[in-house]
Amino acid sequence: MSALAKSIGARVWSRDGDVDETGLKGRYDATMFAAAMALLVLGTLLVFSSTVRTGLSAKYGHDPFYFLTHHVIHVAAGLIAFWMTIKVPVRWWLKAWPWVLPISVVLLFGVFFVGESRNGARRWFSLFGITLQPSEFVKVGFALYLAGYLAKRKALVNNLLMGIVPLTIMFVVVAGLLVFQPDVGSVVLLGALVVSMLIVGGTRFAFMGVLFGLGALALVAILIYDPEKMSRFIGWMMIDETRLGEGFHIWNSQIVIGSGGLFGEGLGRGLQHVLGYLPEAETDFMFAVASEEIGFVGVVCIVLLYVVIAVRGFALIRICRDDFTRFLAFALTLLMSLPALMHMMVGLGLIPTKGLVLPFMSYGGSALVAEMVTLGLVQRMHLEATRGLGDG
Amino acid sequence: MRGKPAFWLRLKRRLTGTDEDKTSSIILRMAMVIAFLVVGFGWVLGQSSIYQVTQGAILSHRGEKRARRSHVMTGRRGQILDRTGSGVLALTVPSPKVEFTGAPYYVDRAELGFSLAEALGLDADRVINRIMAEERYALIKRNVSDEEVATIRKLGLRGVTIGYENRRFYPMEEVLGAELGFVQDKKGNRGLEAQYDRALQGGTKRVKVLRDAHRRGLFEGGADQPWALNGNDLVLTIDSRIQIGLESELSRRVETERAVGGMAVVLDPHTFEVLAMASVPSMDPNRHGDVCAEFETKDAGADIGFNPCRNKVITYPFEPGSVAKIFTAAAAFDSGKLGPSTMVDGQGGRCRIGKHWVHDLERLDRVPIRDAIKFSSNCAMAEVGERTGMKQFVRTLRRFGFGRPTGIDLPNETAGEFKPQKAWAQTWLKTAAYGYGFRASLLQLAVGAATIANDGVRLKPRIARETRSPDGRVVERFDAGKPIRVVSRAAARKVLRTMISVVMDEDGTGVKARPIGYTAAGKTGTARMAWLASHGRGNAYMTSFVGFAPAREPRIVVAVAIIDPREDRFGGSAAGPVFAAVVTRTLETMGVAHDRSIEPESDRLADGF
Repeated sequence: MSALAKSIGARVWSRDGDVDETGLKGRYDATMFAAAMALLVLGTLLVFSSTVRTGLSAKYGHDPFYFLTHHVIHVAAGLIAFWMTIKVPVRWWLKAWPWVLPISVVLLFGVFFVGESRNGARRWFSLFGITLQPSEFVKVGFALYLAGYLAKRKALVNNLLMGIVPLTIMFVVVAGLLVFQPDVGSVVLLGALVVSMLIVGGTRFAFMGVLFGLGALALVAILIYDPEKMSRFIGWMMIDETRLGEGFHIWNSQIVIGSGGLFGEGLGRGLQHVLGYLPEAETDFMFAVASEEIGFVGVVCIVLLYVVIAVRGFALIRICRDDFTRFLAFALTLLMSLPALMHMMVGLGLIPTKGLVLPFMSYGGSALVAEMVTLGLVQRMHLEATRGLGDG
Repeated sequence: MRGKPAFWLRLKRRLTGTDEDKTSSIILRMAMVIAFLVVGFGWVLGQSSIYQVTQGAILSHRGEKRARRSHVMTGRRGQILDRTGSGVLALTVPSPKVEFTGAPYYVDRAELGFSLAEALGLDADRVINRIMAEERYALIKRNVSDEEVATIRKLGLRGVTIGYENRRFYPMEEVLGAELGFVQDKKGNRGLEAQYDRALQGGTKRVKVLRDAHRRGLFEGGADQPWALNGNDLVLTIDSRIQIGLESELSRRVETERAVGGMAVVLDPHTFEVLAMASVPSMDPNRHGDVCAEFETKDAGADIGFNPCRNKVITYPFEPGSVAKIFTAAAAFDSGKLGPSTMVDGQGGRCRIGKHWVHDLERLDRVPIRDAIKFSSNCAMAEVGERTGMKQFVRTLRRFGFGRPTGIDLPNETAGEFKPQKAWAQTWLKTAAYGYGFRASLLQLAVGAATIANDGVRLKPRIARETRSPDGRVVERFDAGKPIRVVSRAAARKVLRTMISVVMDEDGTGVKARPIGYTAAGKTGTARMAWLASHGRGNAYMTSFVGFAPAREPRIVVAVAIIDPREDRFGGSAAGPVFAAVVTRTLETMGVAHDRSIEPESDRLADGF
C-alpha cells in the first residue's frame, strides 16, 4: 500500500503527469473531449429549461434556478473528478481493479441501511450534505473489474467453472443489490456490458446462449414480482390501449418528441415537457426534452456526438498496447454510448421504460461525476497509448 | 462440413478464438458489438424521423390539443345582504365534491369503491358499480363535509380527487326563506333569487389556458381581475333582526292557534320599504329540494296555505273583512261629506244587506263613524259606504291600490280582486264597505295602512334597496316611484285618530294589539273563508290586524293575518298579540323611544288572573 501511496504522491499529482519515466509525450483525445463537452453544455441548457417549473414549486423553495444551480455544481464536481482521473496512471488501475468493485458493492449494500429513499427508490447516500448514488459508480467499477478479469483469465474464458461462473456470481450479487433498490435500468445496462465483454473476451456463443436464457428468466421473475414494472412492460407492449394508465409515460414521450418536428420549438421554448407531461424529464426523459426543443436536426446532432465518442473510444482500442487497456477502453466506451442508446430507445418507446440517464446531459450529480471519471480514464489511456507515437 | 464456404469456416475459427491471431479475433468480436451500437443508433434516428418528420404534425397536434385549452371562467353569484349589511342572507361558497378520475388497471376498483362508500357513508354497491362503469370520470358525492374530505385525503386513494364547485348557501336558514327563493341549475328560482337573477349572476369569460399533466390550468398571459366577473351583491330593505322577531312571533302564534298558516309584513310608512316579511309555514332554502318538490306537483291554486315555498304575503289574496273599514272611512272622510263625528245607524247590530242578514258583535244604535269603526259595526259601515257613494268609494280604494299589484320587486304578485258589480251595485257597495266582495293580498292592506300613516300618499313598496358591485360601489338604487296622493292629509289624519281609539281606548276591539311601551293605531279583521270548507276546514276564518306605531308619528306599519286559527277566531284575539309583540320588538330594535309606560296594564293582569 505504501508503494501505492508513494506512486500517487510522486506521479499522480506531479505537474508533468502526462510524461512518463521515458520522457515521451502523449496526447489526449481532443475530439472525444470536445464532443463530451458539447453534450455537457447542451445538457445544462436543457436541464434548465426542463426544471424551471419544477423549481418554482414549494418543494424547491420557488426557485427557478434551483436545478440549474445544482447542475452547475455537479458539472464543476465532474470536471474536478475528470482532472483528478487523468492524473492517475493506467498502471495504478492495473493494480487497483480487484478492489474497486468490492468497495462499490459495499457502498451499494450500505444504502439499504443508511441510505435515503426518494420516489420509492432507495439509491442514495448522504455524506456531509452531498448525496451520492453508488449505483452510478458501480458501473465504472464493474467495467474495471471486467477488463481486469478478462485480461487476467483470458485462457479461462471458455472454462465454464473457472471462468464464467465466478463472473456470473459477481454479476448476480451486484444485479441483486440493484434490483432491490430498485434500479432495473442499471441491471440491464450492466447485463449488456457483461455480455458485450464476454463476446469480446472470446467466450463460446453456447455459453452466451445459456446466460441469455438465465437473464431472461430473471427478468420475467422481476416482472412478476413487481406489479409496477409489469405495468411499465404492458404499457410498452400496448401503447395505444394503455395511454392513460400504464403506457402514459411512453405515450407522452412520443407526443413530446413529435411536437419538436424537424427544427424543434427552440431552446427554452418547449411546452409539453414544461407542463409536466414527462415525469422526471430532466433525468429519464432528457432525450424527449431535447427532441421537443431542438427537433430532429438536434437529435441527429446529439446522436452524432455520441457516435463521435464511441468511434474515438473504439479507435483507441487499436493503439492500445495490452489486453487490460484494450478491454477497459472498450468497456468504458460502451459505458458512455450504450446508456445513451438505451435512454433514447426508451424515450422512443423501442424498449420498455427504464430509469436510465442520458450520459453527459441528464441532471444528476453522481451519474455526471461517474461519467466524467469514465471520460477521464479513457483520456488517460489515450495519453499513455499515444506516447512515443509522435504528434501525428 | 463439406460444402460450407471457406469464409464461414474462417469466421467461425476467428470468433471461437482458435485462430492464432488473438488480437484480430478480439477486434472482430468488438466489431460485432459495435455493429449492434450502430444499428441501435440507426434505429433511434429512424424512429425519431418517423415521430418528428413523418408523424410530426399529428403528434404535435395531439400535444397542442391536450395542452392548450380554453376555459370558461364564471364569476361567483353575488351575495344577498340585509339593510344593515351585516346580515348575510345568501352567499356562494366553494363546496368540496369527491370525484373518481380514472385509475391504472392494477388498482382494484371494487376495493376502491368499497373504501369510498365507507368513508362517505354511501351505498357500497352503487359506488362500486359507478366506478366499474366509468373509465375516466365519475362524480361520487357532492357537498361533502370537512371531516369526509379529511378522511378521503388521509386514505390517499389512487384515482380519487377532491374538486370544488360553487354552492349557494343560506346561512340564516329559514329566515326570509320563501321570499329569497333558491338557485337551481345556476338560475334563480322563485323569490328574490329569480327577481334579481341577472344582477346576481356572475359574468363569464372564455380564457385560454395551458393544461398540465395533472389537469391543472395555467392562464396563458395571466387572468386579469377574476373577481370582476363576480355577480353584484343585492342589498335588501329587510332588517334581519326585525325579520327574525317577526318570524318567531308569527310562527309561535300559528302553532298555538293550530292554524293553517300565517303571514305578516312590516313596512316603513314613509319610504314604503319592507323591513320584514314572513310566511308560515316557512322553508329553509338550503333544503329546497326536499321541501318544495312535494308541493310542486300539486295544483298551485289548491293550496290553502300549507305550501312553505309560497310567499303568502303577496300571493294569497283573501277577503279582508273589517280591516277594510279604514279604507271605507278614508274614502268617506276624503269626500268631505262625512267626518268621524257624523252619526250613522248601527241598527242594533242586525241589518239586512241584499238577501242576507248581517249580525254584529256589538249591538250599536246611532253612533258616530268613529265608534262604528272602534266597535267594528258592519251595519253602520254599510251605511257609510252607501252615503260615500259608489264613485268616490271605488276611486279611493283603487287609488289605495286594490285590484292592482303593488309593484313590489318580487315575482308572482297577485293583483287581488276589486271589481265593482254593476248588476247589484248597491248591495256590493254596502258589502265592500265592511270588507267583503273583493279580495286583497296582505301586502295591499299593509300598503293601504302605510298610505294612511303617510298622510294619504302612497309609494311603491320595495324589498331590495340597491345592487352593489363586488368592489362595493352602488350599481343601481331602487326608488319608490312617483308618489300617489290617495286621500287628503286631513282625511288620513282623521282615519288615523279613529284607528288609535281602536287600540288605545279601553273599550276598543283592538286592545289585545296594544304593544308594551308604545302607542299604536290599527284595525282588527275577521273574514269567513267559505272556500276552505271544501278542504276539510269548515267554518274557517281569516283573522287579521293592520296597524302602525307609534300612534302619532308612525315609524312602522305591521300587518298580520292568520289563516284559520282554531283557538281565538276573531281578529283582535289571534292576530292582535302578534302585532303588539312585533311592534315592541321592532321599535326597540330600531331604537325608537317608548311613548307609554312599559308596566304591564292592570286590566291585563286582571285578565291573567
